[in-house]
Amino acid sequence: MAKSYPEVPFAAIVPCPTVENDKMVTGNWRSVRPVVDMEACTSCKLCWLLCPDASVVYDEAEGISFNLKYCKGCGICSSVCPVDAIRDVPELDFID
Amino acid sequence: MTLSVEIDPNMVEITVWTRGVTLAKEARDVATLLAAAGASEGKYTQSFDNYVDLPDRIGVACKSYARISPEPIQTFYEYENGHHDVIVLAEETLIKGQRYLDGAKPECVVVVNSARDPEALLKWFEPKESLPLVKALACIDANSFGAGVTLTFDGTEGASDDTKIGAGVGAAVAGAAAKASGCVKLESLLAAADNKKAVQAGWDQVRVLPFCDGKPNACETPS
Repeated sequence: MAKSYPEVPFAAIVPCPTVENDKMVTGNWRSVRPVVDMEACTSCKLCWLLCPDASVVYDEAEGISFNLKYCKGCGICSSVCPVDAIRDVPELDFID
Repeated sequence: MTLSVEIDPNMVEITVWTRGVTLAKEARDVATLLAAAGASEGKYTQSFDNYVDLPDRIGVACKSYARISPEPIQTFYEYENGHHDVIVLAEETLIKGQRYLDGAKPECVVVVNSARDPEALLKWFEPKESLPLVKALACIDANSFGAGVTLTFDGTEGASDDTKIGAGVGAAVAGAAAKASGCVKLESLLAAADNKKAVQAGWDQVRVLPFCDGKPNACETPS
């Protein structure tokens, strides 16, 4: 019978794909920051679906927001937005 | 580990920060141009990229290095610059969230490729405790000079390169870095670069903000 190794996490490296990986913070790769216009946003969630780093956060009450700790500013969300509600704003326009 | 500052006390270490893939070629051009210009002045030079940063990831902060010394360079085995005389940020947002001043030598010069004023960039300087080491902050809007040059991804792996050395924004950044730091002469840089107009524009239009004891504009004579 094959021996099981329950102590080895799934996928070996990332303990669980649904939590943040604090060892791989990529927010400082960003040169443009996505900013969503809540008036224009229809909550179609296309950006949430297509973000390669799962950095788009959707909440029924709050709507679309971004996890800037991991967002690399690739611009996919602003490209796919059907109503142009997401803009790429230069990172140095923000103090934080 | 023996430190390069002990083996080569007169060596100028130039560290160029950039973004992986999209701007890696331009940063390599800055390092290559400064080293080539130094070599044509009869100095001893090295220039190379950092691979610890894994620069093949788009947008990652990564570095290219140049070393210029009046004596033969004895530092062979250190593959990263640890004691910077000149720190070049090839893209302006690198000034935020990166510890580029770590390991800076006293009287180091920081050159940023930015259309913004040097004063506007001060608030993001990191780490703050290294500020007294900075002699000057220089800004150059190199993107406007290199705008006619298409950035290609050729040469990012070092195999082939269709664009010449110093054809794009890297030429203007190298010109600005040379003037702000005085590490090489304008004539030798012009001879090394393909886009001589951009080098000249970078040299002419760099805005230098001198520092004294970590405070900007405190000295009377700008360097």
